Amino acid sequence: MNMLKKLMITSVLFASFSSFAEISVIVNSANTDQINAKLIKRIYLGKIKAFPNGKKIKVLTLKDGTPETEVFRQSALKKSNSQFKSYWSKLAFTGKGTPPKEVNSAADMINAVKADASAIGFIDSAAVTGDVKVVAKF
Amino acid sequence: MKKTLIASGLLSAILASNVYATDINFSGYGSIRGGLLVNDDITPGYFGYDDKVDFKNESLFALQAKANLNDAWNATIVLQARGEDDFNLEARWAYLSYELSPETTLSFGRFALPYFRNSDTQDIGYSHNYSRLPKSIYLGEEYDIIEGVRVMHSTFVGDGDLTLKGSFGSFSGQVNDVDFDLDNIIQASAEYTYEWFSIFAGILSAEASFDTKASLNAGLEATLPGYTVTDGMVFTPSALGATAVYNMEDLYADEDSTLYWTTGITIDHNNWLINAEYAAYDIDDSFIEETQVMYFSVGYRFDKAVVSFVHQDFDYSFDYEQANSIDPYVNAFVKGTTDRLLKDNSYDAQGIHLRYDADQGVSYKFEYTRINNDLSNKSADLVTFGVDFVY
Repeated sequence: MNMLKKLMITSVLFASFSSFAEISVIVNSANTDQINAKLIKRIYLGKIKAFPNGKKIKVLTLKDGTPETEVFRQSALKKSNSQFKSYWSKLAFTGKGTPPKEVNSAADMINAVKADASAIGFIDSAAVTGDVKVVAKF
Repeated sequence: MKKTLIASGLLSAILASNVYATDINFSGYGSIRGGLLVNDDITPGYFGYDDKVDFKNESLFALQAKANLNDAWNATIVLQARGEDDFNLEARWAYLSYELSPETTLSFGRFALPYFRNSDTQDIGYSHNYSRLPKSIYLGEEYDIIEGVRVMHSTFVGDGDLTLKGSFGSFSGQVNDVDFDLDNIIQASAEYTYEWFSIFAGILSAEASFDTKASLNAGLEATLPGYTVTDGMVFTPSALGATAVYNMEDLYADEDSTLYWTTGITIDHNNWLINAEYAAYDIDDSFIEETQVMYFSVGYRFDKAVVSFVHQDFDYSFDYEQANSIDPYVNAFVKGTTDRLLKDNSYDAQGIHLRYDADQGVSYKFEYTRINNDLSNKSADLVTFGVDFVY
């Protein structure tokens, strides 16, 4: 019984995980910069602070615990949540940068990116609307 | 006094900036760590534990407040309460930063001095996979911080990135209850990171002064009856002509130049983790001999856990250059003093460290290390365990 329960929970988890299998990285529709996977990685690891057009980047993330965040960090940054947090703790407490700012939901992310020409964020591809521009998918 | 001024000035700057700033960012880190020697044939220095379990010595809490004053300037303060200081609040970092460009930042104030690769982050247990950073290099000394200026520049070289750091400043405080000053500190380091590989090199020079003159003079006069020290010169007993035979300046550490150099590599590839650091440092014309320290670690990352084996070594290269008197008795005293102060410190140690990521921003740590004293050939076994967190 116990085993069965575990199996069920695992498969439910797996299902919810896989439904977020695709993540879209989004920027403001007015952003015309070429943004590829390499640049995205550098942005989220704090190695680049401005877009090629010179504008300072406002980096956004969904909350730590969400499946979207986990998938994004794993596939785009090749880091687990704890690796990502360890990495950023070295930067954040030594004056090398400020970690990505958290927003609460996909809708908040779309609004924040829509409102700020220098913002970048990511959401579940299924949640993308015409208000933002998708620059990469993971 | 100086540090209090900088700290309180910055604190009020940050609080006042509330009115203008779009955001003040609060974050922090901390550790609760306990440990004890389960075998204490010796009690090794710097490891900080004896045969009774202790939860205070290495536990700490820190809160960082960072205010963006405008696009280029920000003010940051890290308030830290350490168990070893009875959890008295200290401004560990307190600085103003000016972003010259997205690649170059200037900081002014008080901050960690990057003697070694991880000196900046040695208080942040969560940032590394060890229970504590290897003690052979990371001694956790008071003079790990300075007041001064720091410049940081990062740039891309090929597919990797290069970070350059330079600092200038001074330190004034105490080491083992003895007054210790470092003046004209100049530090420079470079780190190149490519995907899974990184290499680091750094150099630091300063003028070091230990307030040990009186005790060294008294030691000589007590050891060699009849010899006298006047204005730093050693004179033989009057029966032997009271001739000047040694300049104690060669034994004192008094505005003598000190040089650190260090290098290290890190590999993080297919869940295998390799980390190695080497450092050598010395204070010229003093009782301090060249210190050579290293560690090497191999680890593997499982899903939520990291296991690391660490080998460390702490040694001196004795040249007794300071024993340059024409009088053999004085030389014997000088050599004996150097040996007495340093020789017992040499050791090597092997240990296993575990990190387990329990939850978002929380990791459990465990360490078992055997420390072998080179001089006595005796060993101690140390166990530490704790929780590291960031928020």
